[in-house]
Amino acid sequence: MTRHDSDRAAVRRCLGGDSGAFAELLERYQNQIFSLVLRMVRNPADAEDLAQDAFVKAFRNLASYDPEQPFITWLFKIAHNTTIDFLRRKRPETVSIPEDDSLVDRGLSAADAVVGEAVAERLLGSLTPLYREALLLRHKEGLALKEIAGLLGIPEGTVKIRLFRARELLKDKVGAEAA
Amino acid sequence: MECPDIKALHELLDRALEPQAVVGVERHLRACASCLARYQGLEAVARAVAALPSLSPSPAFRGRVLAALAAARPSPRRLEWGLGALGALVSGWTAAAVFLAASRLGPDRFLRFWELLADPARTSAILKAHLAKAILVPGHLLAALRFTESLLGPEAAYLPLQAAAAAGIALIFMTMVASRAPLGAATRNWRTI
Repeated sequence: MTRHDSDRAAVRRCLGGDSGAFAELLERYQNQIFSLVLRMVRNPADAEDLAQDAFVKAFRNLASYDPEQPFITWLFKIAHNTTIDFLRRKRPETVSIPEDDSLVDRGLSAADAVVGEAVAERLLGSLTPLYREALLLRHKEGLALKEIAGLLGIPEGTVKIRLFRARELLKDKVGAEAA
Repeated sequence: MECPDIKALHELLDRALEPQAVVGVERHLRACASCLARYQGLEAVARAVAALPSLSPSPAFRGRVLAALAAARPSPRRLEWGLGALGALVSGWTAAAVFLAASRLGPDRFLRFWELLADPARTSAILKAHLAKAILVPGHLLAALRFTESLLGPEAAYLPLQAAAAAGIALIFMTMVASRAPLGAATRNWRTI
């Protein structure tokens, strides 16, 4: 049984009245959701509150989950909306990113850099939350551009722009660290 | 040799390039050290992000979420009482309607009315069709009223109205139960997880 099948079965059981089934989903995905949210808000207490809100919203709206889609993608979407609302309330400037495509060439600085975990975490943290999120969903969670676009509710072109900028910025920062 | 747009390197990394473009860009990377270095820089960023560890919330997190889930819905006891009261109301209303109809029509005509409704091979089929269509087209309700009146006399005219109203209320009740019961039932056992 694939993870998708197992998730769908758990959702069905939950909707049928088996409360343990949602606890199963919580156990399975709490780290992924918490990791994403924490890397966006960079505060463990806030991240736990937001991850909790996301799971409660998912539970309340379980009947609206489309079983054809991966459960984790649906959960990421809820976590994204919850986190963005929080960031807008808290720090409006951090989520306001211009989406025009006017990047300049930034050179070849990080061509063969090997980035350590702590350095990567710190450099990732220096990006804006939406860039961080795009990178994490693409490379950490392995989602395709189309899935990310659907999840974030934005055009695929916008996802490409965010990834483009995030990677170029991070590449420059890695290069600067190496130098 | 013209280097491809840097966006093409990002698209190659994202597997978002058309197949024929992939062949061209890969061929270029084999021949151009500068673009290859740039592409490897992007790959290094992707690898570094992919290698980030999964983070865990505090041990208390799970318990807090489960407690929040239990509080996310009305308590089962209150929900059951509410549904029970609504069920009793609908049942009482229907019983009163049937009693009133029986007392006004008299037992014989009342029984004949139910026989007509229960027998699809006879005239009740027409009445049922009118009632079914009345859900979509109110004019059919009037037709059903006239049909009943012609069969059973003027006293029976309100029966289809009552039947339609009872069906409507029952439908609302069943919809509410169907939409709330799974979550209500799911909530019922949260405290035992």
